Amino acid sequence: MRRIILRTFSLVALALALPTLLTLPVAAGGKEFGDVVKLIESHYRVKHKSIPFAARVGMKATQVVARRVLRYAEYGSVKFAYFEDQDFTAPKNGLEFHSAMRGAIEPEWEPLVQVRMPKDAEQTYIYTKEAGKFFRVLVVQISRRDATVVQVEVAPAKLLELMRDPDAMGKTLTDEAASETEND
Amino acid sequence: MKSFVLSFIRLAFVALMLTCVASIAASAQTTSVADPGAKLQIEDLDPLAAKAAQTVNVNLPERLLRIVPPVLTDTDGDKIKELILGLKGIYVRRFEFDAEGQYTDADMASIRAQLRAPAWSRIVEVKSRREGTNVEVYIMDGQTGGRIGGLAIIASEPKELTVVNIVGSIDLDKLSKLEGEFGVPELELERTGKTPQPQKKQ
Repeated sequence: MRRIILRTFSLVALALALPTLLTLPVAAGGKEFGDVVKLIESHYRVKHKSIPFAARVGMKATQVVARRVLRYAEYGSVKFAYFEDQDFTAPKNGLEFHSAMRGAIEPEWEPLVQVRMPKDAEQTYIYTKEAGKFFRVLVVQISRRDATVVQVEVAPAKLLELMRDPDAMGKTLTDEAASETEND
Repeated sequence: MKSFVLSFIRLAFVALMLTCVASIAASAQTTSVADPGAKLQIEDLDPLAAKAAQTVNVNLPERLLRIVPPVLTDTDGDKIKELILGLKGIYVRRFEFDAEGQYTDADMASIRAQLRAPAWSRIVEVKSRREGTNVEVYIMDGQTGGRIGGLAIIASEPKELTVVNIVGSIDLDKLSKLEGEFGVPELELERTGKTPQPQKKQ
């Protein structure tokens, strides 16, 4: 009997504390990389490939984009997903996808830069989030037939590089990937 | 019975402490995201993206700007460090259009409504040397010491529109140093007058 009462009180105590605990910021491991990959899959009805598979079939663009972003990554893990040769042309100039992504990851992730060129079906989104003394950077790039999602952890000095020229960073990611693919 | 009461008190105390800690953390979070007065609702321009051939949005809130001073070295700082210290945010929206006339005054109505006196004043001492670019610069007086609390730039061209919102204390003489940095476009700004007498907008 006593055990039942104690258990009841424990539940009451938890119930008291839970509502306020739920208002705390979500810790690392919340809405992140996987959610964005799933969002792209459901929004565009496509399927992603992981790095090992992409590398096996020799996808140059994948490697180039990864290399570019990896220059900024010094610490922690790198997450990468690639979508190849699928249809990413979207109605409403990609505005619906942008809106869906905002709903999925903001405000936990803060938007740093967004570049959209509807005519070329190009979209680049760069988000950041504090992770202790480092920062997580999430880069989502979508073009007419391909897309990449990369999440890296960077030191503040590297993030500063990105911040000083965020517009160019967004564009360079796409341009460099495209040009190196053509040259190879 | 005594140990039962003690257990109950212990549980109640833990619950109370958890509640207090959570409340303090939640309240601290609310305080930290408080919006400074000079921050425009720049998102009001987002519907223009549907008509634009290219859209660039840059958001640098205070949280990100705070990382700059400790990691920026003196050699590459070039006074940027000094400029950034007083800032609480840099927000940029840039739209490029395929043809002229794709954006109108109506698209800018919300932004202009926010830039009204007495909070904001349009100043005439800052102009753009770039041909065909009409630049309007607005400042918001700071709360203390007569410093500028925020700044807004509207740069319009027939096929391009840029709105820059800088929140925080900034020296107008050094404004051009921010061009090409932190998402602020190269507008070739120059200060034509030294007397910072704001011309109140009606």
